[in-house]
Amino acid sequence: MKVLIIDNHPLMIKTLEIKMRKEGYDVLSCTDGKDAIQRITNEHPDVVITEVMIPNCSDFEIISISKKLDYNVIVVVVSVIGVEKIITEAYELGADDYIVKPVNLNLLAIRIKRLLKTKQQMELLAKSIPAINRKTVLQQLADINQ
Amino acid sequence: MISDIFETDTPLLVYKAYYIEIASVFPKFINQDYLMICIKALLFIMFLIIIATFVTLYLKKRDFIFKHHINRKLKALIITGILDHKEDETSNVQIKNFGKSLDKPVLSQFTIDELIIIKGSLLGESVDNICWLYVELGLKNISLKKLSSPLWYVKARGIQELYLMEQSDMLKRIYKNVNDKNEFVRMEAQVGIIHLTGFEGLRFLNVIDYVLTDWQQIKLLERLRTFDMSYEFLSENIPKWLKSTNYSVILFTIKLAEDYQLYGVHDHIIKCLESPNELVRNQAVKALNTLADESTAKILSHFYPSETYLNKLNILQCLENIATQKQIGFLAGLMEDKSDTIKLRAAKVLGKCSSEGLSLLAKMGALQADPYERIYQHVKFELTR
Repeated sequence: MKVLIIDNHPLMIKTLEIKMRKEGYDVLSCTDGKDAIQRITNEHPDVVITEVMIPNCSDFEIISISKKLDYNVIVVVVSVIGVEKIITEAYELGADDYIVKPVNLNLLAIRIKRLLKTKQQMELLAKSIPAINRKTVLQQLADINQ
Repeated sequence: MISDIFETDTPLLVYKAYYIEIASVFPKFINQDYLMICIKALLFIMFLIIIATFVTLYLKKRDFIFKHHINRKLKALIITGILDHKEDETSNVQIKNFGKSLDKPVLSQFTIDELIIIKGSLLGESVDNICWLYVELGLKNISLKKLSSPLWYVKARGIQELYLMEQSDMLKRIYKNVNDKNEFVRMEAQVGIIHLTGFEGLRFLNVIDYVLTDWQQIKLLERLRTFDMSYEFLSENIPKWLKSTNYSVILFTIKLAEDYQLYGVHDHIIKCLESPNELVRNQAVKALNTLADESTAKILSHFYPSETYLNKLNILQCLENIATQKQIGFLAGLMEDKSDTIKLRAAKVLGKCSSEGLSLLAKMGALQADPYERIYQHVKFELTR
């Protein structure tokens, strides 16, 4: 399982990196928006942990680009911004979770685990219905889940 | 002479005269000696500028390299698992060595700042480990040294670092500064005490002599919001603080009672309406808007005549929410007031307090169109909005 961490503070990235590695994930990280978008499209991470405000990309670009991909990527926003409007917008664009900093690393790891478990269950379910287009089922399940 | 031209001739001639005078002086300096002096001076200045630029760039680069190096090491400390395994011996040696390398103030300050930033983003066990790292790296001693500094900004920063890193054992040292002569030092100390002890920390209100500024009060209230309210502590101490000789303590206490809706101190707040300080009376009226009971409207009407114009308006604003039919007589009397603003405010209260109030306004409007009819229409429109 690949996790991509995007944050503008290097020490925060490093901390999240260590935690995620300990949880057994392959970790990628970046501090720049352009770089992040390239990595999302080229390296297909399973989970994207992102801040809202990242240099070189607009506020929700990372969420919207991740959700437009042809596979189901989990997007968890970990941000200092706790404004209701921003949180709602992030969810509307398809963010799977939104956590306002300060964040408890153990709880973050549990939330990611649960989201991945749900994703796996959905994929299994899709595989068990071969007659129907898998992507459509996944999309429908994702819609129901939201 | 130029002065003669000023008095008599046009501006063009003035400029021309200046030109002629300068042109007559300037040629004296145009010779080889002066030229050499000028070139030497210019070269010297250029040399100084180049040296200064190089020195500045060198120092900046050195700082950058140091910071980069420290940042890498700090990350390395986290990588080796310090955030999760603080009792690991290898890590302990690494930490001690790293701590020793932080001999320059710029480096130690950079490390403290980085730890504070990262602590702000985390919760739980990781925070404990960051605070532990702060102590183990010897940064706590650096912050403590700042407390003895004669410079207020260094002292304030030292206090801030200590409380942000949860150094509860330094409570007494921080507490000593709650009544410091510098506003920023005492503000940091007061916020720090609350950060470390919660509502109990408000004990400093018993000892402070200086005024708590509005900004200080906001900061304190904001910090208190992160704690669960200690009802017993507040109801025990609020009456005492309301009798403080420092009027800003009374103001802050009233805000506290209002924020936490301490209905039990209603009578003590009422006593503040007798205060000689206008600000205290004003704040008390605002608080009574939230803490009012069935007797409040009557009490406010009693205090109304002796109040200042501004407080009269505040009382009327408060009465808008709490006045009942019993206040109709008092409010009807205010409709005769000289001030149109007071008439309008009183009319609003009349309109809101009962249907009888509104019909009284209608009657007054029928008897005297200007201004009562207009006021009545205005109040009626506002009520239907």
